[in-house]
Amino acid sequence: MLIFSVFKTLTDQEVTVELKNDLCIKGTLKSVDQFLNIRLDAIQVLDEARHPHMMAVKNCFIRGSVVRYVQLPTSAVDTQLLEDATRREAMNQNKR
Amino acid sequence: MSFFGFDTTLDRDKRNPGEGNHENIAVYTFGEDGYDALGDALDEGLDELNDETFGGSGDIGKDFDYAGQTGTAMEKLHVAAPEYPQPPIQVKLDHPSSLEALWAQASPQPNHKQHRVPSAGRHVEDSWGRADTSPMVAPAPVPNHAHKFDPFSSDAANFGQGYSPVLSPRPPVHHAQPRIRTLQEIEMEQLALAQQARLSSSVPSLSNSMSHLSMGGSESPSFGRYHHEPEYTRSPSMANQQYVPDELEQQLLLQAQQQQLLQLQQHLLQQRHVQQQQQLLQQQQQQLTAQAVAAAYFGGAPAKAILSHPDLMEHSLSMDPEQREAVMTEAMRKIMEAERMEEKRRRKAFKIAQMSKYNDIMTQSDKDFITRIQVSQLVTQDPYSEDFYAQVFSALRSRGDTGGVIKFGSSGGIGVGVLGHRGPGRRENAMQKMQAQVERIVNAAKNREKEKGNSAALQGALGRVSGRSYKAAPRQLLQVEPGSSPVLAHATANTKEDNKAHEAREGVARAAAQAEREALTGDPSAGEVVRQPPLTHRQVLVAIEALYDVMLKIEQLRRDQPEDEESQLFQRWNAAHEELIEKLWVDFKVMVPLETSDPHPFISLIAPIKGKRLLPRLLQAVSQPRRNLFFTLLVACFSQLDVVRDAPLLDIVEDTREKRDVEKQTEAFLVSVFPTVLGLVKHAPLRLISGMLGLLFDGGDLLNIARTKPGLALLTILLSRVVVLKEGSSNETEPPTPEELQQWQSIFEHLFLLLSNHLLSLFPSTRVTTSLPFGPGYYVQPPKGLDFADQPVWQFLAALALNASMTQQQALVTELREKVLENVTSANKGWTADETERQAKIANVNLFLHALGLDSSQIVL
Repeated sequence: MLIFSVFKTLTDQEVTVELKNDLCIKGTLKSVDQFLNIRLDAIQVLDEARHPHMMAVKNCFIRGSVVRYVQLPTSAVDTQLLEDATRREAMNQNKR
Repeated sequence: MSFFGFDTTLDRDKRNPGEGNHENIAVYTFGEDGYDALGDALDEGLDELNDETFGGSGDIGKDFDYAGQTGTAMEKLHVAAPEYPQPPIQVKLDHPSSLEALWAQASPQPNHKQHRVPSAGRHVEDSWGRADTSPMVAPAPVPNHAHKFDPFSSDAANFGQGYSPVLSPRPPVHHAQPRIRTLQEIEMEQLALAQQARLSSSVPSLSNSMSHLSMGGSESPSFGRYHHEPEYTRSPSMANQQYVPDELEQQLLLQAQQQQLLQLQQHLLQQRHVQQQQQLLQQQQQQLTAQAVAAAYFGGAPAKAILSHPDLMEHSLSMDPEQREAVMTEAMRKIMEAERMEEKRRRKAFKIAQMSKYNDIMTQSDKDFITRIQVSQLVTQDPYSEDFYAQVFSALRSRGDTGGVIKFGSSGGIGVGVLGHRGPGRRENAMQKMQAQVERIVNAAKNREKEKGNSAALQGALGRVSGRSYKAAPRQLLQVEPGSSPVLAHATANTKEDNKAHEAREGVARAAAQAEREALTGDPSAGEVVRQPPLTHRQVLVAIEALYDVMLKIEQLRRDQPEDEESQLFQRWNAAHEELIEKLWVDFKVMVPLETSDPHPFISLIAPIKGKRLLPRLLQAVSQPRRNLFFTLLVACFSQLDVVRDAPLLDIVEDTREKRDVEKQTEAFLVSVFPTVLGLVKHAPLRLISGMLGLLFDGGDLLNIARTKPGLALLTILLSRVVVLKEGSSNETEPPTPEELQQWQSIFEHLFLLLSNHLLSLFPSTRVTTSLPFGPGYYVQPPKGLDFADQPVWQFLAALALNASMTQQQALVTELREKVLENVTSANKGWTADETERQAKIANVNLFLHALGLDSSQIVL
């Protein structure tokens, strides 16, 4: 659950979630679970003109399976640590 | 003479044909000027028969008390009832079309009563008795032909007799006085019984309805009058008109008969529920005829309204006042109750409708519930293996702060995410509460997990994860056997690689043999050095990954360090730790002889960025002497470093991928490796510095090294350290001995000699400008950012100047004079692109001049 672990460290960060229906939602990450369901706060849809129905929505719960990409703030990700975590994961899997 | 508010105008019109002929509608002009007082001239006669009609002439007797009399008849009938044969209904099918027979069988009213409601006869009788006086009922049971038996209309009676062949048993009944009629009815009933027995056929429904109808007609005088007012008026002028209603009556009679026939057929089809059907039929017919009449006389609506509930009407009529009262109050109560219920229901429905706009929206408690479930699923025995990134990340980020990731005990822990910045007051309180709650949940979940063992069942999870474990997601698509050696597997793919690999294996074997010899003799130089081809890129990467794995194991071990240093557990831990570090050191190939390959395996290992990044972590794990060994090796092989070899690429103006690559590598080297070197140099004695510088000379082209960023940086820190040592400002090491100083002096002079006359080429700006395609003069503006690249050079020159003697300083100034002047001039004359560049130029020059005790402001152009 490496990605889940990464997302946990990103709480309260500003992320942009790209959904499979091409909707891009920018908001503060409130929580993530092991299915990578995402809760966002203070959201803003990137193309508001195309999605006026989203203007009134202030927070949302996104099912993990509908997410295509999540844009993370570079400063909030420790790439080296991520590499290490990947190595650990690989090590753990080889052990099994 | 108005009954029930009925307009009697028509009568008068008809009584005065002269008027009536002209106008059908009376015009009332009472009180008006044009009033002709005709009202006074009205003939108020023709009232002589009123007494006869309304029985005002004397004692009227009790002839009309049908209820009382039929009631007694009823009792008699009840006695006679058992003898009455139940009509075999099937037989009716034999003569259904014979109208005459049907009419003949139409039994008189007592008979029907017995048939209809044998058990509740009394009530029904009552109701019918009452019906006589109730105006409401008046239009209801109106058979279209019933008027024929109107006792007040002799004409009608004649007409009725006109139909006698059809209604043979009836006329006597209806024409007789009520009392006699009742007796006759009994007789008729007996007769009919005999007839029915003889014929073995009976039509109870028809007889019911017929008698019912006839009763309504005959027993209700008011009805008769309503129905055929023209007849009642007995107007002579109406004599010839009587045929019109007569014809109408005939038609209606036919209609009624057809209807009855129709209904009879319906009835025959539904023999099973004779009783119910009878009632139904009756009602239907009642309704039908009543509606027809009502429509004809009242325009429909009000009568219909009443008549549409014959049930209710009949029911309410069948009660005596107290009962009715009770029933009414009961009904009212029920209605009220129903209304209340309805109101309640409506309010509820309204509420639901109001709330429905929040359908599909999660409430706070829903969210909390989900959070709780999520949290309970996150429990793990080994947070560092399952949740490595988050745990280490938060540890790194919140160093010194209390860890952000919630931890419970020493082994367990969960990650609900890093708890954010604590707000003051209530928020903090809530946070603590939540933390406590989560802790409870987690403990419960932990216990549960222990109980159920390691089953992957996710009880209460927000979904189902197939596969062996949710921890293994996402699914692994690439399966590589962990035991297989990727290097060898790859090498055997082609012969060239195979040969190489073979050589490598041989080399490894030889190296191992040599290492053994070294170990035995304790002198590395004793044995001959085995030359090896440099490590391939692939080998390097594999080796680095292996090193990382060891490194991670060491770090994990350190986290699990037992607290009690005396225990056996600690000793075992310590042994494992030492073993891993030893392995790390050996794998890092620092101890491999210098001549083994070019580049040295160690240098190859730190060529990739991840190798460079591994270096500081690795050096942290090893002891100080080993770090010095590393430093020595690094300096000795400095010219082999990729960042030194590829440095000329940086002097190319155009932006290529290689250049960017080298830039990145250089950056990584300066960031990862150099701080470690700096840390080592900081504590190095002068002897070591001199040795390092000597190694640099031996290692290769010092000038080329000095032209690279890392090389220049290394030289700068070495020279700076010497300055510090000479000044004796550092207390941790004893001041250098005269021999050391002298050794240093000779080495420095050697360095100075090597660099002099090439000092200008150290500047990246100079190198870039001279390498430009059309020479330096072609470009008015040199590429930007070079002043910042020049800065390390000026720093080095400053360090050089500090170490140099007076003559050496003069030589320095002579050589650099032009460069200094160029910088100062362009800065002062505003040939620079912007203020920052100008300041950078001045600052650079001052770096050097300050070392000489000068300043750029002293330079006068």
